[in-house]
Amino acid sequence: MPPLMTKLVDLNFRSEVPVFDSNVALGRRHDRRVPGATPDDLLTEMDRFDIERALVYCQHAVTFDAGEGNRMLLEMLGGHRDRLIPQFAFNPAYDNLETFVKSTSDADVRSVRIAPVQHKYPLRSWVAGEFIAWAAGLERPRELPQEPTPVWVSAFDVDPSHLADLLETVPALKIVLCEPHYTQIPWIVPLLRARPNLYVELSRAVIGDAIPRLIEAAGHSRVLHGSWWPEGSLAAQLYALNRCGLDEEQLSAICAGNLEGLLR
Amino acid sequence: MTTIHPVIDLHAHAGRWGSVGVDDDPDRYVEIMDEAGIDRTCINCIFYGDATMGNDTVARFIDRYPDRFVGVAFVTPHYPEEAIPELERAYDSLGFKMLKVYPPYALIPLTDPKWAPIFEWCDARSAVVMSHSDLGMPGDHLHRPRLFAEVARMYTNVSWVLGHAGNLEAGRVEAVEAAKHAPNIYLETATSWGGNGAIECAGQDRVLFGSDMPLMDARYQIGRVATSAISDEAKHAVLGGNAARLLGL
Repeated sequence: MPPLMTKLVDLNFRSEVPVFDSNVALGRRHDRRVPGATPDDLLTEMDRFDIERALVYCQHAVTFDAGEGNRMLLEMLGGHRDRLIPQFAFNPAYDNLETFVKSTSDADVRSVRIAPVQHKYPLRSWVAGEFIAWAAGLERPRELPQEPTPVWVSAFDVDPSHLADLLETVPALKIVLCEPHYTQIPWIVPLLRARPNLYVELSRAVIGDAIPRLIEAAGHSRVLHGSWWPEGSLAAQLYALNRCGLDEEQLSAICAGNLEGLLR
Repeated sequence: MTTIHPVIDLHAHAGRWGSVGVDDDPDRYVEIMDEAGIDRTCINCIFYGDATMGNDTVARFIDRYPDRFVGVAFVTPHYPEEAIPELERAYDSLGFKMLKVYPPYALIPLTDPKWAPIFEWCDARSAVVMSHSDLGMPGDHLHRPRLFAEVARMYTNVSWVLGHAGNLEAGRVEAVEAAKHAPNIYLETATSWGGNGAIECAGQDRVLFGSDMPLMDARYQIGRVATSAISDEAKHAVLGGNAARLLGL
C-alpha cells in the first residue's frame, strides 16, 4: 500500500513548547500496582519528552486522608521541588481549615484538590462554605496572600449541579475541572460556556475533537494540559495537542502559561 | 522524526451518537486521520437494530473515501434469520474485511449459543471478529476477556480481537492471559482508562492499534502508542503491520 497524504506518526516526540503538567499523582495505590509512584519514576518519564515541571498531589490524600497524604507528599518531594510543584488536598467535611491554611502557607502550596464524591460530602456551602470563602480569597487575614487559591476537582468527583451553583454564587472562586471523560462532555461544554471562573484540564478529554471543542467553549486561556499520570500516559495528550493545529501562543498557554498564571 | 507506514486504525464507528455529542462526518474523520497520521481506518456501525442499515452507513463512508476506509460488518443475534444473508452481503457484495459484534448492546454473552450460527460462518471463512471487552464495568459478564478464550477454543479459524484489550486494569490482565492461552486472540489498544502493559505482556505481534473514533480522538490514541516505552519495531507492528497482515491489506 503506498503512503497517503497524511502527516507522519512521530516516534521520537518531544514537546515544541515548555510543558508544566497540571495533573499528576505520586505515591502508591492500595488497589493496584501503578506504572510509577515516586518522584524518580516521574522525572525519568518527564525527561523522555522534555517536560519541565508537573503539579503533583498525593494519591493517598484523595483516596484516604488529605492531611496525612499532604505530609507524605512533602516527604516524597524532598529536593525535587524545582520541577515537582506540590498540590495539597483538603476535605472540608473533616479537616481543620485553620491548620490546613497554615500548612499551605508554610509549604508555599498554591493550589488545592478536593474530592467531594470520594470524601462523601456534597459541594454545598453548609459543608464547605468556610473553605470556599478562603479559596476564593474572601475574608482572609491581612497577613495571608489575598489572591484566590485555585481548586482542582475531578469531573468524576463532583455533582455538576453543585459545581454550577458554586461557580455562580462565588465568582471569585477559580475551579479547574480535571479528567473530563466523554460521558461528561454533554454537561462540561455548556458549563464552560456559562461560567467564566471554570477551567478545564485535558487529560481524559479524549472524545473526538475534544481539544478544539473545549477550546471553543472556554477559550484557550482556560484550558490546561494535564496527563493524569500514572493512570494515564504522560505524553499521549501532549502528542494530541501538538496535532490540533494550534498556534504557538495557544499551545504555550495550554501547556504551561495558564497553569503558571493560576499559581502566581 | 521516525515515521511509520502504513498506519491502520482497526476500531472506528460510523453513525450519529448525539447522547454523547459525537457526529459522523466522513470528511472530518479523514481530516483527523490526516492529523493523526492514519492511512486507513476500519469502520463499523453498530447502532441500529437493523444491521443492514448500519452496514449501508459504512458503505457510504467507503464510497466517499475508498482508499481510506475499510468496511467492518455488523450483525445481530436477535435476528438470526437475517444474520447470515447480511454477512454474505457485507463480505461478498460490499467487500467488508471483518466483523464487529457488540454483546453489551445485544445483551447476550459472547459464549451464548445464540451467537453460534454467526461464529460458525466466521469460522468457515477464517474471519476476523472484534468485540468490545472489559472487566470491572457494569455488564462485564457479557464480554469479559476470559469469554474470548472460550470462543477462541471453539472457533479456532477465527481471529478474535478484544476491543480495548480488556479496558480497565483488571480487564487488561485477564486479556493478556487469554492471549497467552490462545494463539488466535489479538488485543486492540483503544481506551479512555489509561493503563499500559498489553504490548509488553502479550507480545508485539498480538496487539493492534485502534482509536474508537469518534468516541475517542485518534490523535490521542496514536499518541499512546507513539510515546510508549516500546521499540520502534513494536510500534510499527502495532500501528499497522499486524493489521495489514491479519486483514490482507
